[in-house]
Amino acid sequence: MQVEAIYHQGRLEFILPVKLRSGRIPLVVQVPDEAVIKDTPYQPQPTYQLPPEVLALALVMEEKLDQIRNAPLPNDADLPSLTAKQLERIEAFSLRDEIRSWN
Amino acid sequence: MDLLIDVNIALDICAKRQPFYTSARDALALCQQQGGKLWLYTGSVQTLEYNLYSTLRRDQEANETQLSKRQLHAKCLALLATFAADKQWLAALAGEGNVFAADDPEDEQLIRALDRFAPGTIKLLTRDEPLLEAHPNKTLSPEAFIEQSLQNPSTPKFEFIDLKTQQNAIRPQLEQNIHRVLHHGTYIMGKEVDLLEAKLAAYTGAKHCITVASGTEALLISLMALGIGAGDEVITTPFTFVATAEVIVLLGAKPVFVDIEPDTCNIDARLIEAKITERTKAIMPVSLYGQPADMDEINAIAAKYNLPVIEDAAQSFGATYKGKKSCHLSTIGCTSFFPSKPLGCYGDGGAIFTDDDAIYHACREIRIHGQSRRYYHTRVGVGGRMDTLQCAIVLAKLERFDWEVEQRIALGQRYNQLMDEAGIQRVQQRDDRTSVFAQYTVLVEQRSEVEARFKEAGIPTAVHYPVPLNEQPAYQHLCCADCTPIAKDRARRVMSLPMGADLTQAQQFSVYQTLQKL
Repeated sequence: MQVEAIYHQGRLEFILPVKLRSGRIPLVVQVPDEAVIKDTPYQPQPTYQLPPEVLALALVMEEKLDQIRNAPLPNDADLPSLTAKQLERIEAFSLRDEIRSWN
Repeated sequence: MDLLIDVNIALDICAKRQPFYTSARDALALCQQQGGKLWLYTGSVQTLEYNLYSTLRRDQEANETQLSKRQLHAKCLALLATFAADKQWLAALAGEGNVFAADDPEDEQLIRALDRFAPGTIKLLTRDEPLLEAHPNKTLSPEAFIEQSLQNPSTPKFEFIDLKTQQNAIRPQLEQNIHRVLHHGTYIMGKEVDLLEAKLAAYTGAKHCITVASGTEALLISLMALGIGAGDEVITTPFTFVATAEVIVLLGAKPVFVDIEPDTCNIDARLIEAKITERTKAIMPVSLYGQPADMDEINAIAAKYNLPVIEDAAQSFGATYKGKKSCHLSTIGCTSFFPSKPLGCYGDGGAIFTDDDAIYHACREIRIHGQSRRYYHTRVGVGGRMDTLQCAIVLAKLERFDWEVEQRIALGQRYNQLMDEAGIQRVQQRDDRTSVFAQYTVLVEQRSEVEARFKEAGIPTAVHYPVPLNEQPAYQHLCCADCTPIAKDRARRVMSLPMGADLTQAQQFSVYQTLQKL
């Protein structure tokens, strides 16, 4: 079937909700020519034929993390406040990213 | 091969960063499936936390979702906790601290941390191009790791006794205990020695426990405490590790060998009384392969002749006899903490157990050069203390020991079932006692051929023991070789199979299949 989707920062988002049987499905995507930077050679990520038991193990790990990603979060008010130290570290790491981007 | 996970790989997985996510995820799964361990560096904790936070924040901005800072932080911590749950934590060591002169201090820490592993056994998994280029022998990208592993799949090495899995399971406690000793600095007779002695005494039910430098030292000190010396005789088994008889001979006494039972390979209690003479000063049964001998019968004979009984429980700490713990079954119990023993340390160590106050005090003095107080030597002794570091290691292992004993018993019973179904002769266990299966031992004909077949299959085996002590050059003058025919026969046929609390059922089954094919 053909479905419409929007590519957004490395992810495909379906315009209408579609329920899929698996978390990983090969797709053919039509990319408008004007959206592609011509002088950047396309380097597809390699795909591998992994033994089924390896893939099963990988999917177990994925499922565990997906559960966390998709779990409803507590209300903001119910969470402890970020401490001054934590806020300082957030700033420090942002600054670090900034310094690294200079190089 | 193990992998040390660089922060960028952990973030790819936790934040599901495309297009890197799938390769990173698959590389970790492949490593685990091939028996490798996945390590996270403890020094990376803050980088993981705040980099994931900022990655999630960027994703949120891109997705136009609205999570508060606190919610985002909570999600970040939950993701990291789940990701780290099945990983090994690699401690940051002092040598990885002052890295500020490096171009990238964090990378320098990770590269230095790899140096504590044997070459080629671990790589840093990263997609940091400069790092990959600068350290091609120490780093791998997920794609390179997958390609390499698919081309040359590695199979986990089959260990005779798997101490690595045990170490991985107790690493936090182990490292904490070792570092405590390094910091308080009482390397001899530190507080861990007293603590371990109290815990071991409580575990066995014995009134006293004295830790000593080795299992051999435990036997020697016990005999010295009993005053055994030149001209005395000690009744024991010839089918044991040499230390059992060695200590007797060292004191000028004579080991008197009594043959073993054909099914358990333990000393045959029915044959002991015939060997008692006026020179007999003790009986020393060995709880071979982790199973106590017929201690009621042996204790009864000893009581009749007013003899002490020393249980050589080097292999049987954790076993029971009629509900009582090995090491607390007779006048004295001696065990060993040699690394491969059911409860082992990372060097040499041992312990003596007794309810007898006089024996306890004598053993304590003999252990420290026979001194009753500092530099006052009331008897001849030895330098026989177990050092504090080794005690700290056993303390860490004790926390998992009950589980390990349960596992050993379950695995031993499963081996029994498989061997019995296949008609393979094995060492038997009695119903009124448990064995901790320090060894799981079968009886085979043409043993060297069987060993070779196992070697071809990549499965290690061992022989405990190939020559009875009364046939050893150093001891053969003490007893005729033919007077213990069962020991002679068993020494020719016994073969021990891989065993340990962390042996998997799949490994156990492959052992069984190899035996079946013979």
